[in-house]
Amino acid sequence: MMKQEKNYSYRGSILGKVLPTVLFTIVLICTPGIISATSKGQRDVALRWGHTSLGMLSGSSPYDTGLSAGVTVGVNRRLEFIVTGGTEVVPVPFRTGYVLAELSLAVLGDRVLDGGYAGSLLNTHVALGIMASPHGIDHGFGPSHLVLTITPLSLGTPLEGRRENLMKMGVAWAFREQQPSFSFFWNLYSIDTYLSGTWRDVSRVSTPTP
Amino acid sequence: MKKRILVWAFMGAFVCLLAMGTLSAHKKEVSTVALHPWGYGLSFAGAGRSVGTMPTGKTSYEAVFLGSFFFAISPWDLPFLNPSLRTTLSVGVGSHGVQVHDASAVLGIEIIRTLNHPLGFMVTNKAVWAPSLTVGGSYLFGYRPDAKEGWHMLLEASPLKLSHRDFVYEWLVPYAHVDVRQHTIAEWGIVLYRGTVLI
Repeated sequence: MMKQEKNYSYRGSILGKVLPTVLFTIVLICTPGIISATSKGQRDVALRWGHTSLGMLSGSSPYDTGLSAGVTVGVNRRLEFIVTGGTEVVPVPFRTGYVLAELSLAVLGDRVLDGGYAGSLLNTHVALGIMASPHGIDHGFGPSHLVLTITPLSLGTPLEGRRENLMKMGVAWAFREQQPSFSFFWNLYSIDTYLSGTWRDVSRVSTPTP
Repeated sequence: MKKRILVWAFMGAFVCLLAMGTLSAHKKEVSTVALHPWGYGLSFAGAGRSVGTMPTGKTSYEAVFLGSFFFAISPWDLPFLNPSLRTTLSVGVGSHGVQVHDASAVLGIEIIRTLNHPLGFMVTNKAVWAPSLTVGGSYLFGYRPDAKEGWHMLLEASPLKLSHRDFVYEWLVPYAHVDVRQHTIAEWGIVLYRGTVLI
């Protein structure tokens, strides 16, 4: 049974035009800096893949199943920048999808410590992001949702080289709809495989600062 | 008649595999009996099927999210063609609410079990890579009036299966419930994650 398609349209308001532009500009400005820092070996970088829900997108089926993949980049001890792309797999592969840029805060403790020491093995992450997806009457691709999520259980650290993120959930605010609405957004699991910033790359040259 | 042949073929194949395992263990004078032969666990899957045509002429689809509980038997640790059995009960969450979706019993064959593989990055500890193929019978319950209720053949392929001493991970397992009489796929889907605790 197809879900009734949402009536998306551009809003003639500040939220509809200015906010997405500002947020996307911020993302575009931040990204090169983060990548630059990463290339100098200062950041931990991981490939992420896992499950995703797609119920917030127009043209998706109820209860459909998607997969996501992307990159996470450590900004500092607590923050990381994450860019993921998600696509529908079941029941119709690649029918719809999204790109999501998030800034994630580790709540329970530092992700990493100086001097090559691991941060908190168990952690909780809160993330705020902007999602781009097909929307509007012509289903043009562009900023469409603000997403606030919490990942209650995150196992592993960059230093270990691997991290599992379980039961990430939150809300997606479709701010460009004619009548903005909130949808539930969740990821059953995602797995981060670290390319840099692991124990292989870090030499213990300094002591950790508390 | 065809059903009987099919059932006897499955039973024969399984007996042959049991015999191979026993002979292999005897010949090498090394125990290949699994240390933890029993298992149970949970899996999560997305299932979908075509449900007809919309007025616009496009095909419409229905999706269900499945949570499954299962028991497994894996009596040996053979390096090749290692057999196992699994019985599963799946509960679906979909537009019809929460209902029992299907029950199945399958025979799985791990084609190879090796520590030399490129998938070590997926788990923290050293794990055996054991890609497997599964075939068996399933009963799809009629959770909607137009659902294809009845017996089907269940086929699975599990390329990303990593086995520890007492835990087995599986990710991204495509599967299909095949209507053998009509030679059509009644439902198909993908198991996102399956975790088995071996005891």
